Amino acid sequence: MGLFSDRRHPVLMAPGAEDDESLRIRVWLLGLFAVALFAVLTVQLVRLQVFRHDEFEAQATINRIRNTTLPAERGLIYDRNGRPLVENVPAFAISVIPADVPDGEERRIAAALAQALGVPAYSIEATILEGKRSIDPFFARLLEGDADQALAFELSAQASDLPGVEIAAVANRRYEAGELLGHILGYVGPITEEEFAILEADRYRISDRLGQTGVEAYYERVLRGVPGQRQSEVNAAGRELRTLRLEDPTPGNGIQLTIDLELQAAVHDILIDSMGGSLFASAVVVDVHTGEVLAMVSVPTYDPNIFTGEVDEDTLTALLEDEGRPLVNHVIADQFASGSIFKVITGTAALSEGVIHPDEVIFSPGVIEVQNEVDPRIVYTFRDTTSGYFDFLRGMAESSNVYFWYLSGGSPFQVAVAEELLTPEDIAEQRRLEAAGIIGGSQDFTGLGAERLAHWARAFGLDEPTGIDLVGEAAGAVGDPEWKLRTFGEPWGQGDSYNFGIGQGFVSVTPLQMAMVTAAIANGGQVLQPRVVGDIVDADGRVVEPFTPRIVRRLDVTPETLETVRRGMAMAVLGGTAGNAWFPEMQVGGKTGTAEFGEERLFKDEFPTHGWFLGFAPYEDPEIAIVVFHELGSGFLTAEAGGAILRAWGEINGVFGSVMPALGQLPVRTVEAFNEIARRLP
Amino acid sequence: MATRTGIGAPRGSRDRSGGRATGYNVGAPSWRYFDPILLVAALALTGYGALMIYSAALPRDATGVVISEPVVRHIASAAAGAVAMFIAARVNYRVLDVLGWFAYGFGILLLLAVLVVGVEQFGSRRWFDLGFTLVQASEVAKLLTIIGLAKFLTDYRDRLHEPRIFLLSLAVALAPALLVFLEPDAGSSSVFLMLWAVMAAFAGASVKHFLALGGVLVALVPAVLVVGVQDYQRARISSFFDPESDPQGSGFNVLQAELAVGSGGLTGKGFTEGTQTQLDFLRTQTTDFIFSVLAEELGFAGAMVLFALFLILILRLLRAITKAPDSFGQLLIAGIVTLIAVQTFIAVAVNIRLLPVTGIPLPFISVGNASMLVLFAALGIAQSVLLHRDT
Repeated sequence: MGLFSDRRHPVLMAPGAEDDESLRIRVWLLGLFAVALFAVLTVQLVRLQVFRHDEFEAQATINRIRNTTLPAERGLIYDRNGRPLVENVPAFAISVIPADVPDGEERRIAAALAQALGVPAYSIEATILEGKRSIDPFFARLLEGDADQALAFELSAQASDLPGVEIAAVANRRYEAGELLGHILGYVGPITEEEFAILEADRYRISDRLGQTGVEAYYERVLRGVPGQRQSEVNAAGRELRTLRLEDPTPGNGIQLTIDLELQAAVHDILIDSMGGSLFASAVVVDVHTGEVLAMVSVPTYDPNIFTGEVDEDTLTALLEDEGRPLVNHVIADQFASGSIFKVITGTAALSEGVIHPDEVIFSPGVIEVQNEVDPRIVYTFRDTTSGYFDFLRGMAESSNVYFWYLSGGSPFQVAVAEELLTPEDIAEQRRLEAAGIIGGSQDFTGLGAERLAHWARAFGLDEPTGIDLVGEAAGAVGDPEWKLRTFGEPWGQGDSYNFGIGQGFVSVTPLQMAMVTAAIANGGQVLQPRVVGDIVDADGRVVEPFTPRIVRRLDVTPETLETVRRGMAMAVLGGTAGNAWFPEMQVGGKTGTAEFGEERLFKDEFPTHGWFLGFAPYEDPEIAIVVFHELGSGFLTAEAGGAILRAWGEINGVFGSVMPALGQLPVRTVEAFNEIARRLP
Repeated sequence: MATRTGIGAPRGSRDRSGGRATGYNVGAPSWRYFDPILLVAALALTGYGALMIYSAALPRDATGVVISEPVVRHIASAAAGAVAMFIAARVNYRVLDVLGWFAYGFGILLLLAVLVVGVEQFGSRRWFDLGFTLVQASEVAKLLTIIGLAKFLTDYRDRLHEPRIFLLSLAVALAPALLVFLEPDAGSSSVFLMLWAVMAAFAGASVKHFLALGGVLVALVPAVLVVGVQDYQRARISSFFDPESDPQGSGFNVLQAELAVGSGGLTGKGFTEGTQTQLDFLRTQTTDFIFSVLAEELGFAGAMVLFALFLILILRLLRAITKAPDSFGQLLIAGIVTLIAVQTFIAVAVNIRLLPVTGIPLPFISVGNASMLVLFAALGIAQSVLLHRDT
């Protein structure tokens, strides 16, 4: 049978109804065929235009709309006296989006870029090819972050020949103070792929720079401003035809550091000069009333400018391999045993808790012995470098370990009187005090104990970050009996309390923490939060967010107690271990520390030491507190650097002349002479 | 109605009443049988096309009305087409019966010639360069093949049940189809085969034969894909099935066209307001993707108007078949219906991801001189069948 057959009709067929009927059917079928074709088209059109309309409309919008981020000018940074510290240098960033480089064109484009950028073509080609194989081939790879205008124009002119190459106007930071402020300012650097994934929503562009450390990182949101956006209509070739919406960028706010660049430079020079064989050294100067950091130096340091463009591999390797760890801000990021500078805390605590009266005298034979709590047959010997009779001032000034062992751990198991250590004067003094009935330190003397020491240490702000506005701060540690049991599974012994009281053992601190301790002693008991940023100003220099001091807590101490501690510190400079810090123009207070660390050396009880110094000035009405630290040093030498820093501050701020000149240093080391000087202290 | 001759009647049986038996072109056309609706529908489609071409070719920074060159070309070729239509209507279509094999042979000759002297564009040799315009050979050959098929199917009407004759009728279309395939132009090639299939079916070919042939073809598909498909065709086909695999390359046009159509919605984005069109995301807007322009700017409603115009045209042609005095005339018009319906279907289908991209023009809408001229001439032939039904 034919499809529309009428084969049964005769060949010679007369016109008739049957023939008409056959034709009608075939015409109908032909019509149906045509209608069916249109029906198929209509069904598909309904699918696309009715049911999936929203989806396609959204895609068409994405097609034609391009959002361009308009970067805001990054805020500038000034020192406390308004000196500009950074500059925004206009530059061009050249990057390549591997996925947009057509296959087979990699070599040609790499060659063209290599010629323009002066980079080997093979490395660019490798970047493109590796990028294509990577997880995100659409992530732009930065080739040159600091191209000049001529180069940018040259490449823009060839843009149509260089698919996948992007040129963006950027501003690079130039840090005027170079390595002097490396650790404080930090730097802005390229955004990594991981960072970009998080930041893209905040309108970061891949060619943008992100604050990587220091103030640049901590105040990223303030400095960056609010990027604008231009929404424009583009055609298929990517050409912008008209602007649909324009949102101007808001420039970032400026920042006024609390740092005094002049003082910073002076401190830097003093540290460099005093370092000797130390791998690194650090110092910090804070305003005791506000917590403002006036200077903060960690040497060796680095020049942040090396990170703003393409980082030179050799320079970076040298920085990373330097044993002094130049990239680490040792003021905030490194923690050590504090050594004897901790005695200012022990002393404040002991006076406040009534453990001892300032005038009470403790006799030190130079050596004490401590029995092991578990096994009484084990007896530890604690040696001191000084001996004699110590009241609070002398104990502090001469940094008598025995005196502070009594204050922290109470009277020892046995006082080994080494008569040969005592001078005839000492013996005479002992007789005199015994006769007068004011000698203390009897067998039943009770010290602070670990809990109270730990409480005071923490009250002073140890064992927690100070909260400074910089990234990478260490918290330090204060180990108490509970902590020791938890960590080592051993009970706390009297020896542990002794170590604790002189800043050894389970205590570790950052120089900045100790500076805030010193400031609290100097300012009447306020533990402040240190800040490196003062006012936040807008682009026109108007203050938009004034600096406000932040008090972490107030210590439960009397002014008299703190004055006694300060007197002790003043006497340490006038007639004690911190004598190297003395200078004639101003009365200052200080305390040294020589903190043992690491492994015992060749001889028993011989450890390598770090040098510490903390101090404040002027004595009568303290304004600043400082801490100086020398890796592999001794407190006696560090005190010299400390004195130089205090002196530099006085010189720069014109304090000399307005304060009483310092008393002369103790010429003869006798109790009488000491007491005489102490009497003359205001 | 006494002069109506049934389909299948041999040539000699034609009615030559009225004493005008001296030749085929003896009867004067009866203009009262002229179908004005057919003309109006065609002109409406042409005008519709002109509007869409106007929008598609609008310069991007245009203010006011800018009549661009493609619009002028479109209208000019439509005017030439209208003239051709009247000439073709005036000439007795039975001349084509006499000259059928010459016409068909001329078509084959054109297709051979284009392979040798044709102009190559986009890697394909399809056009004659006449100096002022390019003429696509296969467009002309389509109409000539319709004439050849109509003649063969009429002449061998009563032997069509023989497999040999069935295959011979296929050969009539296969020859031009193969030549067109060599250009290469697989899309047009398939139009030739569709012309044969529909016309042969209309003439009463056996279902069994079609089924047998279909079976053989299915068996051959893998071999054809491996041997006979050109690289560009493979790219088109693969981009049809998976355009996302290369969104910027060969899949671009397919995706952008679908986007244009889909985003047009029910009523479109407005004339000259289509973003896909005006911002050049659509390529070859005045030819292959003209339907996307229409669907984007005028939406589903605009597309339905287009389809309605085509259906009116087709209905008037179907009516003309019923009025045709002989099977040759009926088959001619059936071929013309097929030509318009199939080309329209393919041209629209490639815009909405129903078929891979082929270079088939949308009848009366796309820019294309040869296509326009041939379509109007084809309508002229249909009119001729109407005008000469009493002769």
